[in-house]
Amino acid sequence: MSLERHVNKTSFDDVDYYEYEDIRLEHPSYLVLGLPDAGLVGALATKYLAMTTSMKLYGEIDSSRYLQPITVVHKSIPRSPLQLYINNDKNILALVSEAPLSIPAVYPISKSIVEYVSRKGIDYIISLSGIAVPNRLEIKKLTAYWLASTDKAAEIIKDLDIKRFDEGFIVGPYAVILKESRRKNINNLMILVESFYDFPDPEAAAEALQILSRITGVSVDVSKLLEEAELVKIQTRELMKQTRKALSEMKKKYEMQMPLMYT
Amino acid sequence: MSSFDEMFERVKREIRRLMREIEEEFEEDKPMWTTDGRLEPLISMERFPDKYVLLIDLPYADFKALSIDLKGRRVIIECKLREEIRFSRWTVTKEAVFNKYYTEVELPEDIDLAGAYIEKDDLRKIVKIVVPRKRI
Repeated sequence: MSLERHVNKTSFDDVDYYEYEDIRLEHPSYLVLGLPDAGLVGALATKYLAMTTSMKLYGEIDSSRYLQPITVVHKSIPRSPLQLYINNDKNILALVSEAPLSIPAVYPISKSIVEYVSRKGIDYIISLSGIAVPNRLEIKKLTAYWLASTDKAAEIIKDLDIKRFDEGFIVGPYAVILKESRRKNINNLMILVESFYDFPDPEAAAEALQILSRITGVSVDVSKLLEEAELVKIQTRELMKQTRKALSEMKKKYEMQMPLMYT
Repeated sequence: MSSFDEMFERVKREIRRLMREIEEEFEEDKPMWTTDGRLEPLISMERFPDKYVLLIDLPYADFKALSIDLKGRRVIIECKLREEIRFSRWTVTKEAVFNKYYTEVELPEDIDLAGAYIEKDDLRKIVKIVVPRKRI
């Protein structure tokens, strides 16, 4: 695809969405989010999804006000670290972020994502994330949890035998997206897989992808991700290090605490 | 020790802690690799009431060639990779070749090295170092 000139530009509070193709989405449609978070679960899963299911680059998100002045170069094409991909069936968009969001960017970018989904008429936001557990090294079978902003979003996962996240804290962009979605009646389903906090966790990313596959019906073969897990971990160490710093500033470790509650 | 000496020691400790924080802040921008083939591993350190637990992520490491040296409060970790890894696209350099991990970590002052032990997860290539804290 040529990225010479965008065909659409939409702005929400100084966050710009550039689209390089006019696309009519098929339904049900999904926006899969892969923002750097605990274990880089969402980022690894979404990047792998985009690369292995032949999704193509469809757009970018940029903001001179909230994002650092970074350009990512792939195959000599400069692009924003926040990229939108689309599948051939035109019903799945994937947001891949190659840099963590800083605290000042979290609210405006997260809110813009919800606005964009509303404007595009996308049926569901699926947030893929890790949830750090202190004994991750000892866990052989990872547990996944879900959280939904609406009953309709809960409906698509309720038969999958995955635990509902009942009590706790969620910190970071996914937390804001979930809150905003509930307020605006946007269907946001969040999948949280047990993971390392500050080591890339391709195993958890593979688990998240398998759940995504069961929700959307899109087949994703995760074997290559698991086979190449060690190389993936080497290549994503620096992103993990930057993400750890960003998460620490957001007080991400709140997620390991219990909220105020009565038994 | 007089109360003045105690206060002086506390101030010295606080200055050292602040210096460490400043160093860490600058280290964030340092690349985690060198052109002579060394990779710096990711390290996570958790503090518990009775111990520190360090996890060192060493993907592609050959644990038969792992060396962990505890020198005072400094841990030196060195490990060869199973084989040389070549990345054809690695930032601006055309090709990058890596053959080992190397890093040095400074542990907090209240460690008690006598009870320290090391566990290796050869499947996940993660090393765990448990260092008890001194009872005060």
